[in-house]
Amino acid sequence: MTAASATHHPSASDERYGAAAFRRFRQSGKLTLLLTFLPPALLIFTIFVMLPMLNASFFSPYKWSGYGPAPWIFNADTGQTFGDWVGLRNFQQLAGHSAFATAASNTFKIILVSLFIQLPLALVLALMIYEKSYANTIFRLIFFVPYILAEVATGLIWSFVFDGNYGLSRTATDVLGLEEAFFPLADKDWAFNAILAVIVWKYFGFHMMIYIAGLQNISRDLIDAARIDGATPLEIVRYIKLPLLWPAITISIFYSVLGALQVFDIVMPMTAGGPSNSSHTLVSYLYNFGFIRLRVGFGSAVGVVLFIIGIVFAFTYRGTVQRRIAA
Amino acid sequence: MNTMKQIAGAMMLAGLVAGTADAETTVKVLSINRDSPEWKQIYTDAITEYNAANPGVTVEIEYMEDEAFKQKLPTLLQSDAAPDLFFSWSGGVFYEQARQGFLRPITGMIGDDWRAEASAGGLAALSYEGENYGAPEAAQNVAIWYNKELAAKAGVDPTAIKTWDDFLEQVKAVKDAGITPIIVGGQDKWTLHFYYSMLAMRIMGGEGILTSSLGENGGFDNEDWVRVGQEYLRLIELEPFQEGYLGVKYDQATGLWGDGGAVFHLMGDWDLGAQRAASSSGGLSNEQLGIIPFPAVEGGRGAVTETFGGASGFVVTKNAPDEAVDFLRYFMGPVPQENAARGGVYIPTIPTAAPLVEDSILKQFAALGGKSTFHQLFLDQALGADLGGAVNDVSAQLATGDITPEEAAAILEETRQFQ
Repeated sequence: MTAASATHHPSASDERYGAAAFRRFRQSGKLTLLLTFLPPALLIFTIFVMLPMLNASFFSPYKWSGYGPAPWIFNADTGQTFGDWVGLRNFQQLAGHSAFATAASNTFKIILVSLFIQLPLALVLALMIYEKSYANTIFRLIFFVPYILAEVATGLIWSFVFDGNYGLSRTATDVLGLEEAFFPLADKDWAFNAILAVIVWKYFGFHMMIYIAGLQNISRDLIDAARIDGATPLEIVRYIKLPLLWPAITISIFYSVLGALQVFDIVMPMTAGGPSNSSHTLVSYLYNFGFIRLRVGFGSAVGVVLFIIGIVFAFTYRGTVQRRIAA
Repeated sequence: MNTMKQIAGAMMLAGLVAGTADAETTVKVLSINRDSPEWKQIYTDAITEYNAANPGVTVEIEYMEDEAFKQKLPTLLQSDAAPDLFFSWSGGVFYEQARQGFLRPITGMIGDDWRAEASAGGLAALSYEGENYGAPEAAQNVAIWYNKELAAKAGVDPTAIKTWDDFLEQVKAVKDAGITPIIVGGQDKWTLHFYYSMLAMRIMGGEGILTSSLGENGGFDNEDWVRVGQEYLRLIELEPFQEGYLGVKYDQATGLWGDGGAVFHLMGDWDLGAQRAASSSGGLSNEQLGIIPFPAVEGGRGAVTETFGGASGFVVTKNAPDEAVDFLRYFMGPVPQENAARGGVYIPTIPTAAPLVEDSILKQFAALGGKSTFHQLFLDQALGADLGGAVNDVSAQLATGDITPEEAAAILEETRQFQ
């Protein structure tokens, strides 16, 4: 069905236009293409994205350990359903849990640090090395390497770096001749900051690459023209490069915020959410307090909250910031 | 009429007996990987012998890596491919499996002779709401390890420790001597929960913990639990642990211990091998190590002979045939366990097997278990995944000074009520 015929316009010309469009569409071979390629994609999207999301929202009003196919299914062996309906209790518990508040504020911190430290850093580096040269290629590679590393490996490597017993922190202490070794991951005030530093280190290269691609698309003529008009390098950045790079920046902000909401793999090997639950993110909170503790319903409730935050951000952002670019 | 019924009944019975005698019954066993070849051999031998002695039955065993086992089991138990017997660490996950009806109650099939030869504590660990679901294999016990050389250097004698106050005094003396008193891997909160739980055991006894878990006497929000927190804080205030203990997991911590990093280490018997594997110097030898039971707390109701640790074994699934239960008895019985004891493979639960342990340290643990008047399963398992997790949480939060003993008790009670 095309959009035109689906909207049921009463006028006959529109009907004819719709039918004609459909015939053109069919004859051009686009319909075959669509019928060939859309179903598999749609199927995969439904099975692996939509169904789990729906499932999570269906599970969230239950107290359920994860045993049995679903919480509402009747278990003939016990004469009861596998889970118990608890309504909004999971959400209420969530709201009253201090560790959840910490996890939410930590996730918010990741967003702030990503936007105000990571992205500017990536931008500055991109401006420095976007032009094609041998040295720049090497630098680009170096800055991009952290992004290639697997998250868990990154977490493990940094947990060795921060280890005050045998790690780099110990070596640094010995070299500096200090009395006490530094154990950032064991200190409540430092643990999450250490994770933030690693997140910046790990992902700035990705955003830098987005900016480099954007910068390389800017026509040299514009920059040369500005230079002839007497613009300083800073003014060129301010009035030519940044405005033209803005579409790339909005994309990178989008990825950065959604990525921040999903941070998990780095936290687990570094602190596992500790000391005393001070360094959880929303996802590591979900994993630890939901699945590890056999509370699939509760975990699903956290998942629903996370999903709502993500979806609200995505739609608001696309509807405002990114629409302005398209217009 | 009655005679007719009896005849019919007898015929049916005869038919059943004939049926089982003719048909080949297969008992499927699912175990976690036994990386130690000796342990695997014990299983292989037990199965070979049982199959030879029971012509109508074939026992098959399958091994699965720990994590895969944990992940696949929930699905497997709901399918036709469910095993008849499977390995269990007991505790929260086991309770959930029993509660949801995936396991077969075998209380009626455990006769007096079986009860006499098995460990009562072990059987209790694999029971839920008064029903037995399995039989125990290995037991783990937690005790205070001490490093003899370092203790001598610090001028303390750990064997003289009888009470918690004695222990705190020695910790202080060690600290004053400039030596780290205790190693702990605090990032794994369960290592800290050992202190909190064992204090609870000494203060209110295993009975008291059970009463709390049933919600009686104020549940967890009573003066006993507040005292547990207070005594725990007395230790924390001495700053007894190695630097940065909250950023270290058990594996790394036991490596530090194996390298002679402290005088004391509150840990289970498995640490004997673990510290050697994790240390950079080959670890501590049996001669360098000693163990003492966790000391009594003044005014506490729990005896020093009450033990704390783990228990593992095999449990029966709901559709398993009677033959599976028969094999379970043999599999977890005296023959394999005595072999395990003699070979130093694990510390068996069967009372007649425990004295056969030869390793000088494991022998002491076995003796501890043998004298046990009550075996408390690790609290983070016994209380279920959720409340158990909360015990771990408060143990860490008390250590970081985030909460008071009163708040800890209230958090535990709140979590219990939500269950």
